[in-house]
Amino acid sequence: MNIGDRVVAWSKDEEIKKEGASGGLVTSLLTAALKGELVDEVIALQKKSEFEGVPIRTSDVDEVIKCSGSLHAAPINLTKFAVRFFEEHPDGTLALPAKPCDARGIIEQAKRKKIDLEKTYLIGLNCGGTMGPITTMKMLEKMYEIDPNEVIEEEIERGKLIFKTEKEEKAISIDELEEAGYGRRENCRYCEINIPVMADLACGNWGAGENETFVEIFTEKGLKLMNNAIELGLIETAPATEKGIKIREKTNGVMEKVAKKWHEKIFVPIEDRLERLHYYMDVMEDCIDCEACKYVCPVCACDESKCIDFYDPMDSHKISIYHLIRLLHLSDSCIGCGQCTDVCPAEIPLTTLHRRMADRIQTKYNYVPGMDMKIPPSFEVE
Amino acid sequence: MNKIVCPGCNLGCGLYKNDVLYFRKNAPVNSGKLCRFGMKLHKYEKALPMVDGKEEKLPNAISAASKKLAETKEFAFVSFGNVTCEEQLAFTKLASTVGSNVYTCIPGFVGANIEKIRQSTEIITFIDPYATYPLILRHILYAKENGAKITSYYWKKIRIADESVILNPAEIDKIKSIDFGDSLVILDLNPLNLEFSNEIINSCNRENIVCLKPFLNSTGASLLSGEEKSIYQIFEEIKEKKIKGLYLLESDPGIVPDDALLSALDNLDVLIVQQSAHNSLSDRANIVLPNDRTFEGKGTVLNFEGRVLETEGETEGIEVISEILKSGGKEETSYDSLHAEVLSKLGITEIDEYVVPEYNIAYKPETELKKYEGKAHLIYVYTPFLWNNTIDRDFVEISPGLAESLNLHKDRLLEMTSSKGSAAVKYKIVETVPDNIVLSPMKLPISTDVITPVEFKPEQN
Amino acid sequence: MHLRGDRKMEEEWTPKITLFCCNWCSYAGSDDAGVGRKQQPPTTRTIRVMCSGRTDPGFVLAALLEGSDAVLFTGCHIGDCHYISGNYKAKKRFEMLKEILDELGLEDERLQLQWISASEGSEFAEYIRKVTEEIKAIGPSPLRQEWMK
Repeated sequence: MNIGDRVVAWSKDEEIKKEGASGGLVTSLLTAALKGELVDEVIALQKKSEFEGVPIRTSDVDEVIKCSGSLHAAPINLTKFAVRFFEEHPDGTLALPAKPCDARGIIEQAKRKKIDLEKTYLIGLNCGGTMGPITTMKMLEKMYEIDPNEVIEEEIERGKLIFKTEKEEKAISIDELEEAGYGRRENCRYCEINIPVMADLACGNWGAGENETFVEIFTEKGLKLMNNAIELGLIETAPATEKGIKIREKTNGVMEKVAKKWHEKIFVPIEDRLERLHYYMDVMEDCIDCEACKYVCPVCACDESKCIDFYDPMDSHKISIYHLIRLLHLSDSCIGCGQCTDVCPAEIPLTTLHRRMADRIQTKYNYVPGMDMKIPPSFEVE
Repeated sequence: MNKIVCPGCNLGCGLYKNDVLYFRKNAPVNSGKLCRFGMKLHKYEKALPMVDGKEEKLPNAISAASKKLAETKEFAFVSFGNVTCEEQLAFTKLASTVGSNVYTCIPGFVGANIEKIRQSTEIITFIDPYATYPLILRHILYAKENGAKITSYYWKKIRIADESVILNPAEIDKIKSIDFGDSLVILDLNPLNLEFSNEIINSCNRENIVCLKPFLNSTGASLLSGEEKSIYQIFEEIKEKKIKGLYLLESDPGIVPDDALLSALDNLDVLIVQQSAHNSLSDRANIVLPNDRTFEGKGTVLNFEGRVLETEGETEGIEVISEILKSGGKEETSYDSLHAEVLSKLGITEIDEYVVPEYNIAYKPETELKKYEGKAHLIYVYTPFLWNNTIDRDFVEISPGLAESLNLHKDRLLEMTSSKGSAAVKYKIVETVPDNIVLSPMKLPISTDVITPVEFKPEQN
Repeated sequence: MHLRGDRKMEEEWTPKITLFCCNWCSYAGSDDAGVGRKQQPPTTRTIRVMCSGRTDPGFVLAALLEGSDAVLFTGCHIGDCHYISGNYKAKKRFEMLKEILDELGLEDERLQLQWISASEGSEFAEYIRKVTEEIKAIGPSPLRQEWMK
C-alpha cells in the first residue's frame, strides 16, 4: 500500500467486526496501535447508552474493544483531551479517532505548541454531523414514536436517520427532521468538511460494502497505522472498487451542497447597521459569565487570556468585552465545531456569531483553519 | 470521570468530574450546561478529624462524638440537605438513637417540574433567574420563545420579563393582592425567608408552583426527615438552653444574614460538625468529623422536581456515621441497605433520571409576612456561591440615580449604615435597579436580615 | 470602572475621541500641532504608547465600550517605525478589528488609522478637525451608556 491509496478494510476478529461500526476497523487500528507499541495511549469513546459517550484515555486493549460502535448523539470534541495527554506526557505518543472538527482542533493546537502533531496519530472519521442527546430523545418520542430506552442501534444511511429497537426499524430523512427543528446540531448542518483530509487516514462507510470501512491513506503515519494492524493480523484489506470511489465522491458532493444551502439559510446578512448592532447586543445580553465557551473551545489555548483579563463584571458595558475579544481573537481560527453553543446556559447561538466574524476574516485572508500547519493570519505580520 | 450532581443548588444539574470537569450533555435538567458555580467547583482545604481544637485520629474523634451523644441531653441534628439521601437517612437513624429528628430547615414540598415551565403560556417569577438558580433561565427562555408572557416581581427589573413589577420592601404587603390566575409561579423555598415564600404559596394554586431550593439535595433530605424547625427557631432554642448539643452535617449556619446570631453557638455544651471543608465553623466546633466533598458522595439525590438522580463517588460520610452507631452499641448500617431503604421510603422502584415521579404533598404553611421599615434597603441576592458560603462577586448593584445623588466617582466606595454599623463596598451601576435599593451577592457584616434598612452618607465634594 | 462625566448638563454634545499615539512620530506630531498653536478642537484624549504595535485591540474595544465616540490608531509611517516592524503589526490588528467592528454594525468612521510623522503637525491638526466633524455628523456612539454623560 502507498500514501494516497484507497482501500476497504475490516477487522479479522469476528466480535469486533460485528460490534464495531462498519466492520470494526477503527477499533482494530486503535488496539493494533497499542499492541504494536506505536503509541502510549489511545482516546476512545465509552458508550454508556445510545445517547451518552464518555471519552477515556487508556493503554488497556480490552477497554478499547468495549468502546466499539458509532455514537451520533454524543457530540464531543476530543481536542482538549489530547491537549491534556501532552500536558501530562510531553514525550508521549497518542492515537485517537477524529472527526474533521477533532482533527482540525488538534492541528490548531499543534500550531500553538500544545500538541505534538508528529506524535499524534489521527484516525480520521467521515462525519455527516452529530446530534444533541436531549434533542434526539425528544425527536424519538415526537417524530419516530419510539421510546428512547428501547433503541439498540442507530445509523445514518443515504440521508436517512435510522433507529432500531428489538421490534422495529424506522427511518426518516434528515431533511424532514431538520425542517421540524430536530436532527443534527445547527453547525453540523452547514459544515462543508465531511472527509477528514487533514488527518492521517479517513475512515467511513461511504463507498464501502456491508461490514467494511472505506479508508483513504493521507500520510506516512496513516500508512504506518494500517501496516502495523495488518502485520499483527488484526485487519484485512482489499482495494476499493471504482464504484465505491465514485459513490464516496458523490455522497461527499451531495453533503457539501446541502451544507451550502444551510449556510445560506442561517447566515442571512443584516443590511441595516443599527439593526445589526442591536442584534449582536440583544443576543449576547443574557450571558451569565460562566466562561464555559472558552473552556470547551478546541482552538482556545491561552494560559492567561486577554478576554478574561480585560473583562471586569463590575463594568456596565453594552456588550461584553469578553465576547468581543473572543470574537476578534478567534475570527481567523474558528472551525465551527459548535461546542460553545452546546454548553452555553443562556442559549446564545455563539457558533453562529463566531462564524459570522470568521466567514469575513477567513475569506479576506484566504485562510481555512485546521487543515495544515499554515500560520493563522493574526500570527503573521506582512 | 464520575457522574455527579452539581452542589450549587437543588436544580440537579448533571456533569462529570474528576480532576477536570466535563459536560454531560444528556443530563436531563441542564443538558450538560453549567452556571459559574458549576464551572468553578472549588477545591478547598479538607477538614481533618479534631477534638477540642486538636487534630485526632478518626477513630478517636468518632468515639468522642459517640460519648458526647450519650452524655448530653437535648441534642439537635441539622442537615440542610448538602448530602445524599443515603447519608441523610444514616443521619436520621443516628438522631433517632437519642430520640431526636433531623431538621433540614426547609419544608418538604415538591412543586411543578421543568416541562411545565417549558409548556406554560404565563409565568410569574419571584426570583432573578440570571443570578439565583441560573440554569432555570433557559427553560423560561424556551417558554418565552414559544409565546409565553413572563412577569417578574422582584427588587429590580428582570431582563427576560415582559412586565417587571418592582417590589418595595416598605410595601411588601402588596404581594398579598397579586392575582395569580392560572400562571405558573416560580419561587424558591430557602431557610432564610420562608415567610415570603409561604405567603405566595398560600395565595396560589398548588399545582402551579415551581419550588426551587438552595442545597444539593434539599428535596431528598426534607422528604426523608420528618419534623421541621426554622433555622432562627433553632438559634432561639440554643439561646434558651432548650438545645444543649448540636450536630451539623455539611450545614453552615453562617449563611444567615445576621452574623450576631452565630454567637448563640457559644451557648452550646457541645458542637459536633461533620463536613468536608475546613472553615471558621469547623474551627469553633468541639468535634470535627470529615465528610466526602459535596460533589463526591455516592448515592441518590432528589432535585426540586423530585427527580431521582444518581451520583458516583465515595461513602466516607456514611462510614463515619456507621462507626458512631457501632461505637454507641447501636446497629451499624451500610450503603447498600441505606440505598434500598431510601428507595422504599420514597416509593421509587426504578431510578430513571428522565422520569419525574408524582408527588402529592400537602403544604399549608402558617404565614406572617415580615415588615421592613426605612426608605432604602440592602437586599441579599442569593446565588449558588452564597448558599455555599463563598464569595464570587465582591460588589453591590446600585442605580445610576443613586450614584448620581451620592456624587459617587470612579474608584470610590459606596458607604451604607444600618442599625449594626457601617460598611464601604465596591459598586456596579445597573440601570434596572431602583434608586432606593442596594443588591448584594456577598455577605456584609451590617445586615440584620435578607432585607436590611440602610442609610447613605452623601459624599462630601 | 465607569466614567463619571461632567455634572453640568450640556445641551450640545461634544464627541469624545480617543487617540492612541506612538511615542516617536505621532506623539511628536500631535505635540507639534499644539506648539504651533494650530487650531484643534478639544475633543481628543490622547493615550501615549511606546509604539503603535502596543495598541491592543482590547484597549480599543474598552475605549469604545467606556463611551468613546471614536478611536484613532496613529503611528509612524510604514517603514519608519522606531522598532522596525511594530506598525506592521498595528496595521494587521487594525484591519482585523475593522472587519469585526463593521460586522458588529459600528459605523466606519468610529475606528480609523492614520500614520503621522513628527513634522506633520498641521496635517495632524487638520486630520483631527476632519474626524471631529465626521463624528459630529454621525452622532454619539451607540455603545455609550445614557447615564455616562
